[in-house]
Formats: sequence, structure tokens, C-alpha cells
Amino acid sequence: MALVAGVTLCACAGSRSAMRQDVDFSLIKTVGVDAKPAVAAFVSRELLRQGVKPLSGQSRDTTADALLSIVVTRQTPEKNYVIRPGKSTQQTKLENSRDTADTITVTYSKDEGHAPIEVPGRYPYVNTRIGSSGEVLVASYAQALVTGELVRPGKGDVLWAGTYTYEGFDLESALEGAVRGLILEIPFSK
Amino acid sequence: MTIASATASATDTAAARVAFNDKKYEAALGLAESAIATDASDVKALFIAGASAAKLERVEVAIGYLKRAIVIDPVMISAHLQLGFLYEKTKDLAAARESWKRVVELCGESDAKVKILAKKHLNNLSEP
Repeated sequence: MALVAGVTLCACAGSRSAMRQDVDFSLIKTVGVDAKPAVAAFVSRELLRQGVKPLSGQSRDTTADALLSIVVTRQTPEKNYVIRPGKSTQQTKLENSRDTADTITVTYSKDEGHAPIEVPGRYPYVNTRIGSSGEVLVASYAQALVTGELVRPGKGDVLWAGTYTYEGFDLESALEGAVRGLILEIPFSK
Repeated sequence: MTIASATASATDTAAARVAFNDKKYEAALGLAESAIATDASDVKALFIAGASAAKLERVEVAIGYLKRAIVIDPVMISAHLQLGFLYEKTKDLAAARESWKRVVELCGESDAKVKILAKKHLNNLSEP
């Protein structure tokens, strides 16, 4: 396959990915998959959806137009609570947390004897109401962060790199969505 | 529904909520179902029943309760939100897209983060 050589890296607006501007990604028809087995199946399926043929095993290094490596960087399980906000309800950043900006503690006011609820996660969603009773759903959904690199086999030139975070009902759903989102960002059709 | 039955339903719903927050999902589901048996229009009980069933991985049961909740309260963002996630889990992507669209439509300024989440899911679930 002839890939046009180039050295310019350019970040795509609105996404957490960057690609070589001097590469014609539409010429990439086969992609070797480098990922752990639990992830590789998701990757292959999404590549097929994009019209690209995935390759695994030894053939990926010798016959693929490009090699896609995907690593799961972070996984966070879900937590859900139904609370009644009141005067004593608190939303505070946890002390000694590395991720204080996105971590909250919620106490619910009218249930005696219950310890404060800790809802960790980068995106706790507060204030989605439940009926007209005043209760709200406090949820931190399962999250997966994946990172990927598309390289030219043999030479190791990085053609595209990106990260993608996704939330799901559980870790499997989050991971599946994260892989889908990441691969959608690769401009195979351009 | 009598005042006595309404009180019984509310008591069960409150107990279901506490059980849910204590991660006693089987108990929460049972209490919520008891409340629903007394008052089939108790959207809070329907929601907790759905959320509890989801935690117990009874996804189809969860979807059933949440769908009943939004029939009674069509603007209940939390139920549409849960349904979006559950439909994705069951690979019913058309239904998931509809749920996420409703979340986007219903979210106001105070739900900005939820709206961003829903838009992201809609984008993720778009056809290639």
C-alpha cells in the first residue's frame, strides 16, 4: 500500500485525537489488531463496521496496511443512589482525592443512622429527578478510558493517536462504547 | 386508592429507597414491587424497581418497570437515562437512540452534564 509520507501532526478540533495530515487513510484496507483478547473482539467488530478488514495473529505484522494498538487505561465501576436532598445535603470534594474536581460526597438528610454516601467518578450526575417527589438519582456510571495508536507496520510511524472515554450500564458496556467511539474517530473514510 | 393504601405504598417506597442505597437490591425490588402492587402509578417505586432489577442484572425486568414509569411521567429524565444505558446493554441500539434523544430534549440548564452525556451516546451510536 502506498501511504503518502508526511511529518505534520494536527489535532482534530473537538476530539481527543490527532492524525497525520499527509496520510490518505482511505487507502488503509486491512488493520492488524493489537489488544488484549477481551478488547480485541470489540476492536475487530468496529473495524468491520467501518469497512476495514481486521487481522490478528502473526499475519497482522506482515500483511496489514496499519497496526492498531488499543489499551484500556482506566475502568471505574458504576454507583447509583436515590436521595432526598435536604438542608443537610452536602456535595463536597473528598479530601486526599487525586481527582477532587470530579468526586463528590452526598449525605441524605432524612434517613437517620446512615453514613454519608460517597459517589466517586469523573462525572457524577446529580439532579436527575425521579417523579415529582423531590428525590434525585445520583449516579456515577461505569466508565472506561481507552487509548489507541495506529502505526505503519515495520517503520513504526504513528499515523493517528487518540483517547476516548465512555460510560455504560456496566464495565463491559462502557468498554464496548469506548472502543466504538475511539475507532469512529479514525478517519478511514477520508 | 384509600389514604391507608397510599400510606402503605409510600412507606414501602421509602423503605425500598433506603434498601437500594444500602445495596440490598433484592430487598429494594421486593419493597418497590409491594408499593407498585398497592399503587400502580407510584413512579418512584417503579423507578426503584427498575434500578434494583438492573443491579440484579434482570435487565428485561428493569426495562419493563422503567417503561411503565415513563408512561406515567414522560418527562422523567432519570428513567430515560437508565433506559438509554440498558438498551445499549441489550444491543437494542434503535431504542437506545430514542431514549438518549428524549434525554437531550428534556434536559434543561441544570442538567447540562447529563445532556452532554446523552449527546455523546447519540454520536457514539450513530450508523457508520
